[in-house]
Amino acid sequence: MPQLAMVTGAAQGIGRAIVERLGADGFEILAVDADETQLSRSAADWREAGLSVRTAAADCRDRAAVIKALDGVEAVNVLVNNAGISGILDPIGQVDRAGCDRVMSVNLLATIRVAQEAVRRMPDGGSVINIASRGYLGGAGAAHYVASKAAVVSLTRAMAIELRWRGVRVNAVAPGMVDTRMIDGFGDMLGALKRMEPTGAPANPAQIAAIVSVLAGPDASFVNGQILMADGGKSLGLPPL
Amino acid sequence: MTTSIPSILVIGQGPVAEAILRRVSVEVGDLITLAQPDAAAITALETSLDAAVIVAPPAPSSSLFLDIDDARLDAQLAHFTDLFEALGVLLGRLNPKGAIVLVGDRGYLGAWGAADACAFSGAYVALMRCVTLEGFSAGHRANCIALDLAQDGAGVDPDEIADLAVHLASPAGQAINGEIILANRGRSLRVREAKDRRADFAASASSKGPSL
Repeated sequence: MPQLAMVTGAAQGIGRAIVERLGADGFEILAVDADETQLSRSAADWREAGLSVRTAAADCRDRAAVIKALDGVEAVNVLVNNAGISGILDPIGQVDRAGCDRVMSVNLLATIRVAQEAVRRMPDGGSVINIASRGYLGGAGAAHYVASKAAVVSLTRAMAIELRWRGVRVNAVAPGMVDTRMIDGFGDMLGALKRMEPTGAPANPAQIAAIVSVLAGPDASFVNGQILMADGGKSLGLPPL
Repeated sequence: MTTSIPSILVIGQGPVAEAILRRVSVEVGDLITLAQPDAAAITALETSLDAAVIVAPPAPSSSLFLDIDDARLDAQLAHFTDLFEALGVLLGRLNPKGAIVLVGDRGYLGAWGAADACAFSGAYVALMRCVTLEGFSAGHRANCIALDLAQDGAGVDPDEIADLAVHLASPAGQAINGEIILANRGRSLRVREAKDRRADFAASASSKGPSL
């Protein structure tokens, strides 16, 4: 019987690539996304590709919706907490309370709620992978997003400390720039930001999914509480001028 | 001993905030206090500021990860957004070369039985890093002091924390920027969870994990 992997934010971008990679790895997938239309479109592609995917449209900020998405699921072997938003990227004084609240709610509170409900159904040997961002190290003009991803990093460490006694590993992947719709928010800065990437280009979502695949499987059974930076080495700093 | 800072805002309650107030003397300007981050109150100030020290609210009591409820999460998010909103206003009130100090906790490193508090600790620390980066051009500084979590046991003397906070807030601390200073007498060098909790786990026959 195949193991089940739950992926949030599954309909597009990194989440979609994770569904396709874990599906190819042999997992049955529970794909969750708030965008029901996009989820249906992606699901049609997944079915055509022969992947075993069931879908659930849910806003993961809502615990009841998460529980409903898990209805009938006996065991979640792998959870990939991928759903996230960047919000409007502006300096601290220009982001209002609602904007901060929304980013923190989606990126942090939903991550916690999904993890709680999935871990309740997670047997020994389970793996939780939270998708953070290399941005957690700090950045000007995105404080609410940075704070939310730093919170996911700290959450990952704390969850790993606690859940190892249940036989559950918890790790995070911190991607740098990835070629998804989220980077459209950079607007006019996008070209310059791409040139600052060590490889000269953003990562492909499949490159992030490949890391998730390793962390999800038995080859990473001794890896716990780690934050895996997947940024082409950008976090090491820029070369001298 | 007191340190003179022309105009300072101290936000927070409790022994550390009180100790900070005892150590600051204002010769010119104002000493302003707020019980909690309040953007409207800061907007209404009629003075600019040379420094602000913010004592974050204490982390909630220990709770196993699966027992953390939505009300507890929502309360912590409200505290965070209060601070976020207040900082946005505060930065506009800060004089050139002004300094902000946040007194938080070491939860950002991870800890047993406090996953939500750890997450928000990480958010506070990261927020201050962003304040540092956004404040460079204005010559602002921002630093964090990280205390032990309540469940770590004996804390550090509030007066010692106040000394450090006032130093960082004053011109004497101008070389220090964007840092997180652990103020816990070296306790973070202990692998607490790995050593202490293992015995606890062995003693806990009825639970899947160690008790708190």
